[in-house]
Amino acid sequence: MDTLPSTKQHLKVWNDHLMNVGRSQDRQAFKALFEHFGPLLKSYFMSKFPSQHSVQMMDELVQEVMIKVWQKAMTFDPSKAAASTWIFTLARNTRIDMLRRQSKYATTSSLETEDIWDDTTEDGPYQLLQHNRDSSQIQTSLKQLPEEQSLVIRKVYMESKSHSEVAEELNLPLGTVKSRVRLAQSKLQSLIKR
Amino acid sequence: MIHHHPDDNLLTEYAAGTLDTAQAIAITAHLHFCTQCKHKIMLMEQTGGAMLETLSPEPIAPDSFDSLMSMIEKGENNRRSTPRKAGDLPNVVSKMMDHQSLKWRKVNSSLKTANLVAGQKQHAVSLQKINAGGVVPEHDHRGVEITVVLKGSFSDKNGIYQAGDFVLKEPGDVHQPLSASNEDCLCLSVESAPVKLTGLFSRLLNPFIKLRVA
Repeated sequence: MDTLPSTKQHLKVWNDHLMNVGRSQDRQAFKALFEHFGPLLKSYFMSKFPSQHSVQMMDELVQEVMIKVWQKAMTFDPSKAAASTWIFTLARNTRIDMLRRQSKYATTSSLETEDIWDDTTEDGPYQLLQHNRDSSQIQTSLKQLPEEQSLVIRKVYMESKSHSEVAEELNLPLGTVKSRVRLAQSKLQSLIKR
Repeated sequence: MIHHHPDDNLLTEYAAGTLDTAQAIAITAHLHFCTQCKHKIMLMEQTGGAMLETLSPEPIAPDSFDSLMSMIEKGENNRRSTPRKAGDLPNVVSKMMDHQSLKWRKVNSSLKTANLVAGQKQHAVSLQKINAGGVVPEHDHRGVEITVVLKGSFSDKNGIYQAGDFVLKEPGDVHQPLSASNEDCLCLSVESAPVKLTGLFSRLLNPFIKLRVA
């Protein structure tokens, strides 16, 4: 059962589990997803909210994501996105939800986070993605980024820091952070399109 | 054909979920029209997914799965997929329009504006309508102003903007938008600070600026 996380076989397993949850509310498959992604999601939330929040709250955020996985699994289409990609969007939106609930700038609105940050894999220009589905390929491409770019990209995606927060933390001019992000993105785009 | 897009920095902040709500609404509105940027966002989200797989796992409380299942059982009927209306306007915009009564305010003979409730207080989110052939007073920008064309088109000295085009103006960008002569132009506008009109006469028309006695 223990395969390397980057093998294609391994990735297909999670897609299949998600499909089974969506089709037949398969609890075994859901438990396997929870055991794999739960600890990764917790790590994701902890890197954004280090020590400010209780461990229990991190577990609750993980549960909130996994409830969405359960509720929305029937909309998941593995020909259009990898399990990890879709779960990342659910986690991102859960984090945004929490910040919107806490924000002093928030007002009541008819808009839900999902209206602004789409979390469905249903529609979109998928014909363009034929060669782009494979997240093992993206992991390989990420490893090819220069260290200074991958550090910035990691802080942006996994620690959910704005460009200015990254600039402040790394003591770099904002323009430098912006150009590293742009360089990394165009490199990833070209590496993956190959 | 869309010619004006958000840059990769804005798209990255959107995909990572760090962009503030109002600017994210402008990106979502653009994505409704733009296959190219939608494709980029998907790639960026795949990057997020691939990185999620490389994090070092943090152990979860042992009873967490069981308590999750009992929560799910209590709310069993909550399984849902959210149907979307397919329409000309981006879903995010039509939803805001459907949930409030729009109050159009006349800025001058060719420009009308209506505020949108967007669930935040950091930006002014509004619809702007320029009559066919209308001219908006020349203005500078005190903060960042994003305009997404929803219908029709307008032009300024830098180019022509059509449905889906995403235009970002920063302080110091002075322009005088002009609507196409054959149809009204409807835009979504997201401003971080009120727009400043530059012409002396125009000051009288600007609803945002308090007049000072010279």
